[in-house]
Amino acid sequence: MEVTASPDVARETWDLQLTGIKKAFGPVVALAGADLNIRYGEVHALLGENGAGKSTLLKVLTGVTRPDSGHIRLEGQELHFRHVADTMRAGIGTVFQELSLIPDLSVAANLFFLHEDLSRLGTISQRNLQRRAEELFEHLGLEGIPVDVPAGTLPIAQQQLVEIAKVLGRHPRILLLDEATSSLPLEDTEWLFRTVRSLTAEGTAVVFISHRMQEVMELADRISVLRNGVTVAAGPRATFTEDSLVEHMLGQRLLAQFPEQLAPPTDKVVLRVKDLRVGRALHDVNLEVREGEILGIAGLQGQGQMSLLLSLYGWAHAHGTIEVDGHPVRLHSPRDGLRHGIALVPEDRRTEGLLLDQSVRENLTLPLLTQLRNMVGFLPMSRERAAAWDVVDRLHVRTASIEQEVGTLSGGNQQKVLLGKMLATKVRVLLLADITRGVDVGAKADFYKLIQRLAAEGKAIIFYSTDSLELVSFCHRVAVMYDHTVFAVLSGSELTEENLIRAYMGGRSQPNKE
Amino acid sequence: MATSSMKSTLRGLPPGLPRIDATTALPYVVLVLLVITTMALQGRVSLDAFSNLPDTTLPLILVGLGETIVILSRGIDLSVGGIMSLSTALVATHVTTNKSIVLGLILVAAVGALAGALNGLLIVITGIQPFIVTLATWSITGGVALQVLPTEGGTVAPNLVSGLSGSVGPASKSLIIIVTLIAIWLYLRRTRFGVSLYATGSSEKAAVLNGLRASRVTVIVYACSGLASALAGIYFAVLTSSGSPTAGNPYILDSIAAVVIGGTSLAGGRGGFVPTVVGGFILAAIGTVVFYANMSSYWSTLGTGLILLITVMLYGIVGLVQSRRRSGG
Amino acid sequence: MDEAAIKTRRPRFVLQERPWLNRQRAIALSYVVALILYVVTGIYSPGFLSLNHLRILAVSASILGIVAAGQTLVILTGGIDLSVSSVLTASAIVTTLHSSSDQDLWHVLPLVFLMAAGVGLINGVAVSALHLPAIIVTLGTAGVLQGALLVSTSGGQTGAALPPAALTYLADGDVGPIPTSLLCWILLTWLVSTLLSRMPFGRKVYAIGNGPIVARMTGVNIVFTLSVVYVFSALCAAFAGLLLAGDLGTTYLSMGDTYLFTSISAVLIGGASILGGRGHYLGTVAGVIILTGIGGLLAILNQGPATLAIIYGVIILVTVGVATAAQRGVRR
Repeated sequence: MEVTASPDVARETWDLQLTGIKKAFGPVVALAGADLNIRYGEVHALLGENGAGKSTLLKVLTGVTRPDSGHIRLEGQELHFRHVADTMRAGIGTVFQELSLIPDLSVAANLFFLHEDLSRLGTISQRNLQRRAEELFEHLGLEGIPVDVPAGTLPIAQQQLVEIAKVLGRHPRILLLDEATSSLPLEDTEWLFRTVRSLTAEGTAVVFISHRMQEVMELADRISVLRNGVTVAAGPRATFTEDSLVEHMLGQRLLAQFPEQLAPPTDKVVLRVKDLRVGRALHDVNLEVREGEILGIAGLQGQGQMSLLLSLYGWAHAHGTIEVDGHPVRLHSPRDGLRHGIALVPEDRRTEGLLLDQSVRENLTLPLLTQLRNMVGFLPMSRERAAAWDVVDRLHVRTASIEQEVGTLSGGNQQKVLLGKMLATKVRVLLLADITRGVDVGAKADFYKLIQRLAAEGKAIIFYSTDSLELVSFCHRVAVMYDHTVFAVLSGSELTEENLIRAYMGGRSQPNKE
Repeated sequence: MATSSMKSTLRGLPPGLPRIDATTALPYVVLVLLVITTMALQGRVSLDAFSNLPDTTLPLILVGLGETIVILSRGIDLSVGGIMSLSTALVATHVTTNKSIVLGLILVAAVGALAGALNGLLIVITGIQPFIVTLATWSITGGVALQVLPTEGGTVAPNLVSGLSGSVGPASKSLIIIVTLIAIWLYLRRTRFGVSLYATGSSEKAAVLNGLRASRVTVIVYACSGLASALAGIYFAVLTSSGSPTAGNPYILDSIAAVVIGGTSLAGGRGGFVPTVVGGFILAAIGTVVFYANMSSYWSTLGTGLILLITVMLYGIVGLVQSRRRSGG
Repeated sequence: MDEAAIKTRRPRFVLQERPWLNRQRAIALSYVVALILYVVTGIYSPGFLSLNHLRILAVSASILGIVAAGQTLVILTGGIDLSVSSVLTASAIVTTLHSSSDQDLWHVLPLVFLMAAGVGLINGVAVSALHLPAIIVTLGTAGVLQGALLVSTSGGQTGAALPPAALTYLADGDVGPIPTSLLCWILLTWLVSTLLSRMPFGRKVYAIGNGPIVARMTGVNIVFTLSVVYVFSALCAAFAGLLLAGDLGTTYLSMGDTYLFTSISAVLIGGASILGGRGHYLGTVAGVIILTGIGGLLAILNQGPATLAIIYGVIILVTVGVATAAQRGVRR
């Protein structure tokens, strides 16, 4: 299908119009003439791969980034934003992907930050803030979030809800949601959708970025697709299908999202876990993972998934037995984990996985230093480069050179570097912590192929994911965590999305009706 | 979440969170222990030994006020030493007679505030780390102080000395000043500026996304520190009735020590001025204990270092325990 | 995304593929500045570049350079060592007090270095295992050490002892045309530079400075690496103390004080980031040369400590400002 510019620009009037926005960060061009046309009372979805420019476009709209050229018109008037406060005054409210809660201030203080009621002396009353907070939560239909604790101590899902409530409390005329559902469990996502629909009924415009195709098709009235910094398609939702959207995003057809058939695992048990316990975070976990097996880990937020992965790697201290290839191992630190062939790809690549200011080469060779050094103890550059290029080639990392700063790569490529870094060591057990979250469709397909290949090589793979479809389509078995332990292990015909979701809440599987 | 369990921080109280835990009580416990030790060594239950504590600690507490504000914003100010020295030198060379004392003091205070604002502007405009900027301006202001007053000496206007020292009724003037400072702080803390201060230190990025003008906060914060250092310099001149061009240098690390012993986090966003006052008292009380234990005063330096290490390690351990207890899922 | 469609190139030599060249350019610039400084001063005052005077400057620079070596490694990891001046002074005083002859040095020196290593170990463990801020920990150990010195010397009233001849030779002697202290510094420079650029340990230092969590996640032993770094810093300071004692011919309680500020300044002028992860010892060396040169220049101009202090401050602002601006131009 061919690339078409927005067909409806000239003929209709828009309440918020971005035209021809260009933005470059040094040599990296983020936006090369992007357009966005918003109407009050509509839900407008913005799609695109990582690196296509969606977040940059949103940052332009929120005043965080100033465009190099282009026009922003609100209700016909041309606007120039210099500070975030300018956009707020224009009626634009943004729920950012990286939350903008201030961790040490109370929830109530966060909700009304810089919008507090001041007494005659200019002071702020905490009681007043708390009362207003409770009223706001009640008005929005949010329950169970304490208002007087530091915002940073809330679980991520609740933080996201507070973030949304904060923005809604400012009564924006245009609401921007950047991946606002990524950390939300199912019932909160449904709450958000209800809230969005009532907002648009009242005349608010909602712009949202999401990678979840189902959300987009369910919620959006209008869709715009960005690719390589340009708007390649825009129109009412009815004019698109899921496949056509993916094609616009990638510029070509994506044949199959998930690999065809998973080869069955062998009988050899690589990893055996008995009576694993981590403080109050995890208890009574017993698992076996075989050669070539992809074991999914699923569950609602905070049920012990990360504690499990971290303890298997040696980051968190655990009681119980862990055996690799039949030998019990003591894991006191990630060094121990690596030594026994266990590698973890962490959840947050930017703060836990990669050194953004260092080059691709430096990142990739960090776990290999002991292997790469020569007899005298030096680190020959030729060996380093060879090792780095090896990973870049195998994983098809899109980078101009291995000396490029990792921070300048797109999210999907960063994730590849992270994965490649851990793979370079001799791995028997690979622990993957939600590695496809926030990764675009194209890179995801690459990852699935790669992981399938790794499984075929005989590695045992533990695949923690928050995407039920992915778990069902891609794993041999899925262990569902509930109440800080492994509640159920689903496989074969039992492994369906409905049964997964039931298990998340502690329910038993229903037999698959044929 | 994995990340929150990986960090451990010092504790303090931003406004609106009246929770007392082990770490907020710690400095008070240490202070009480030191007081009790002094009384035991003295042989009687009285606070006589601490009668001139407010006098001797007021300069430290003033510098500590400025430093607390800066540290709360996740910055640091090393130039307090130079600004304080400069202020002392200026007082000893230009506020020498009883004529226009008030004007002279206002000018000295203004110099301090301006120097501090300059710090803030440099940080905002050049983007250089506060540590480096204030290290450089410490050197520069210290050099200017030496130009103004090359050696110790100079005179301080007698009316100024009598005006700021001594007592009013049963309370020493310095104690009244300290109480006033605390009152001012308790007010400031509850204004929008106070909340912005804690917000900037807690997460400047998030605060900016919420519409905060971070540059304005930064300049004001460092101007406050400069002003406080200048006031400390004035009082130091009053205390010693003369000037010293290097008077402020010991106060740099001492003020940071007082802030840290009090429990304010160097990472910003948590803590306050009152714990710093307690920290300052602790530092002074160490000297008192040493005195009454009939040990040479050289033990104070040793004692200060030990108390600093021990309290900071205690904070660290408590932090680790608390974060381990909270980690889950 | 077709696998065959993406071909990654493997160029033999691309200029952008060598960002270390850019970093080297910044360091080279510092050396050019230093050179200009010395040449201009030499023209203005010919005695400045006389062999005698250069020798004096070289000894002075070597001592600072050795302290700054340890400080560089510490700052690269994102920390700071405020105890270097106390360790320097303590090592000088303890050595001279307990060694009346060269023979004594054989059993005094190991103990002195052991003491320094102990201080460094406390610093390193507190920072890495207890996650305490380096500025506070090293401040505390400095205070304890300084206090212990004060107590044991009663405030410096037990007279300053003369350093044994071996130390004087170490500081002021020559090996051929080169002063021994300069030789020590050159050796140390080669050691530290190689460590940072070409050995795994150096990469771990940079990794910790850039992201301690990531470093730990990738299997770097943070406690070990940081302990070594702080111990190294203390040992450097201790060695510098011996040299200083030999050079001055005496010891006094505040002999190490200026080295705290100047070692940190030299590291920062040399292009390191105070946050860690960026910089190199070769840059620090340039910083040391510049600072020493300015000190000499101002002495010639008969300017006192006041002007010196102001100039130091301005230099720091200008050099770090330029470096920061250059970096911001490249990044977002």
